[in-house]
Amino acid sequence: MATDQDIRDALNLLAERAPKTCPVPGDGSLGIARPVASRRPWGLIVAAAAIVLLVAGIVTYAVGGHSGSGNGPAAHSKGSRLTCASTPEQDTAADHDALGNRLAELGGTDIRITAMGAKIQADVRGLSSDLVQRVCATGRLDLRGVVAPPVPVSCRPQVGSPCSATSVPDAAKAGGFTVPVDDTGYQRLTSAQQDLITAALADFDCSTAAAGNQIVASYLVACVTGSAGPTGSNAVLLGPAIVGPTQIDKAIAVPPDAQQGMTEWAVAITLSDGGTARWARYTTAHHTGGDSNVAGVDQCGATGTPCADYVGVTVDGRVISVPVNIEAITGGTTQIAGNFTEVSAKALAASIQSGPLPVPLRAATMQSLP
Amino acid sequence: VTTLEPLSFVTFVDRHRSALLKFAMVLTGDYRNSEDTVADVLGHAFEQWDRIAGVESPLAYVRKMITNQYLSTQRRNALWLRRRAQLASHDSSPDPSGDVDRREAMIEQLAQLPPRQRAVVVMRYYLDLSDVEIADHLGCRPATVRSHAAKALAALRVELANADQHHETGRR
Repeated sequence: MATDQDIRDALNLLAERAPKTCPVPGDGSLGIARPVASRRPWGLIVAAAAIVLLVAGIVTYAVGGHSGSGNGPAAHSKGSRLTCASTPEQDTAADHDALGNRLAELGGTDIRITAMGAKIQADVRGLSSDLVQRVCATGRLDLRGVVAPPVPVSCRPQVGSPCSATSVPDAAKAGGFTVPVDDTGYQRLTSAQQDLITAALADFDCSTAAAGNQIVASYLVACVTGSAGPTGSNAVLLGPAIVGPTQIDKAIAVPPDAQQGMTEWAVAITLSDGGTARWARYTTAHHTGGDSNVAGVDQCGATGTPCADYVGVTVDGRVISVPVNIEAITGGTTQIAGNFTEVSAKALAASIQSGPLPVPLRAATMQSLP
Repeated sequence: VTTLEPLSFVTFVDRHRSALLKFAMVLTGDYRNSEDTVADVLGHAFEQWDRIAGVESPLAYVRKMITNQYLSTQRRNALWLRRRAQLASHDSSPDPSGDVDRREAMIEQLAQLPPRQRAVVVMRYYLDLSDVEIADHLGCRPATVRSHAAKALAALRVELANADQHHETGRR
């Protein structure tokens, strides 16, 4: 008698005998279909082992990703208890399902969510604590067009001398204009009016940047951290959300792929039909025409690449990256890079996947369970 | 400057080529056949990439295309392949450890399965899919999947108790 393990062994032996490569249509230039049998690129063989590992990870996600094992270094059998608190205090029951879904999405087991008034408690096994403590983030991802070039923030908030003495809307009021919500609106301003916006951005207090679900405005001032400048932050004026949480159907974390020049984790989002249409409209109107060799967003507008070709990717009101659109994107899948680690990419993907938390939370305490 | 790009066909192929070839190899059991199947399917996928890039899982979609291609060509080739498997079984050399022989014997037995049964076995034991997922993949009902699996396991003379146990505890 054979066992099912014999079947697995046999199938895995067969898999090892698979061709390492095969002729495929198209290459880096795309758009030109080539005869199917014209090419046998054997160059990939050396990297085959690496690809096997990589693909194994992707397959785990593609077929559900709930197995608990095979989810990388995050898997531990010990349990964690995370308590999150609502700010401002309100009933947290509405977050119950989303938190449970996130932990399940990440591969957690024995999940128990208990809403306790203004606090909510999550018990889970099989996940590392640094992964668990990220699940209380609101998890709202928006793609917004850049309106004006980012400005280095010079203000350091101190007791007695707060920043944001003049906000962007204040500056607009003073200059007698309405806050522009796209780059053509910004270009129509006089240079004196543009200077008022620049000054207001330089005085922006990044620690007060709007967070979570409060982001509903037609424009958003957000901070790009880790940039050059006196405070390490740039403030940027972004337009209305082109794509928001309701237009995102699915999000997955994508491991690095050295072959593709992808050295860091990324998050791939799949848009709904409506989101795909909106995104296609925007990226068709605003792209560099295939040119990927353009300056950073700091120089947008001035160097001939319009600011609108850049898109601010914001998570809970903070800019995680400002990529440039190279071409019209008519398919529904877009990959986002944002200095992700494995943990942050997986946590963000799970948060987007479950939808933003209706009640904003912050992680309060974290303890391990026996 | 980071760039914002759709999941391009080239990226997809570079990332998944190896997995697709392995899947095709496990499905067809034949080197040349798996190479041809994947090349054909990627050709079709390339033509309709705009649509495929937008589906929930392009990888699962393309795997489905490979399965369909296998099932449709296999119907035509069934007789020849079965005969060839019998021919091939005569020229394998003995393996001292016995493990490889055992696996080779199973590979030969798998080659005798009707294509749909084989597809079910591959999805269950190679891709580790649930019966519901397999049913979705093949466009049939889970009960049909279970029936195919039961017939296949009987043909492979796999201990059913063992197999059932796997399946109940295997996945969500």
